[in-house]
Amino acid sequence: MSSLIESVARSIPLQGIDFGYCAVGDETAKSFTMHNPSSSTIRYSLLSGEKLFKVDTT
Amino acid sequence: MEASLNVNFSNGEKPPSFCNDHSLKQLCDFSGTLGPKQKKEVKISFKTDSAKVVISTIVIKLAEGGKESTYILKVSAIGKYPFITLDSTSLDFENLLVGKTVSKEINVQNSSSVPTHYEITKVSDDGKDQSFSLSTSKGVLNPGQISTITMKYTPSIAGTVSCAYYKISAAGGNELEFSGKGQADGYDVELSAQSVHFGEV
Repeated sequence: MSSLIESVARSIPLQGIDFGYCAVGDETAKSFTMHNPSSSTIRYSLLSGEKLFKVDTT
Repeated sequence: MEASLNVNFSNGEKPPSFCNDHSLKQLCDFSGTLGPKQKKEVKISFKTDSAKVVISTIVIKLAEGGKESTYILKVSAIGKYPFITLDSTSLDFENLLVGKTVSKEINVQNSSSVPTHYEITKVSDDGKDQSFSLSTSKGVLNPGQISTITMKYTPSIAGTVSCAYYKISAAGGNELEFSGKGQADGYDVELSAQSVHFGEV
């Protein structure tokens, strides 16, 4: 595994994200910041396995 | 139209290629490049239309040159219906003189463990009787929070009995009804004497 990739992966909350209780019909959002500390360009893709969770950038 | 596709990952098999081919690109919620020293905020949103526990994963692929790694981000949420309660369903303003105003309060509480928006609408209103008014028609309630709604009664036509019915509904949750009633009294004025006699002056 590339250490460059690992350095980006460290900024991802791999322990998981718990949304807790969410009101039916209301949208609840949580965010995290992906950081590339290296001097190389990193390609990424995020794929949600469940349509109720949507991934977006702000 | 809605389409879904299950992607299975298992050890020893070649993982799906990076989001370059067309079929996978349709499934990629979010892809791009992260330049040197660059930061990017990723927003994950959840919305459900029923009360259920949802546990899922977000597959994150990172690649640099020819190297590629896959990470699994576990996401979970519990959908719950909001539930509001009222401390009273009927406010009686009794008798009031025309032109005067009396206020009474009604409390709405969010008895559920999720925040909710509520909205108040008048039921079967022909718009002719404007005697009753409310301090608010919508609001937001956090879990356990109580909000006070003030109802004002200002009668305008003597002798009339007014009733107003309202429906308060929590978004995605329950609906309740409450009402106000009052009777308008006119001024009852009479002279203490029909004539004034000054006698002999």
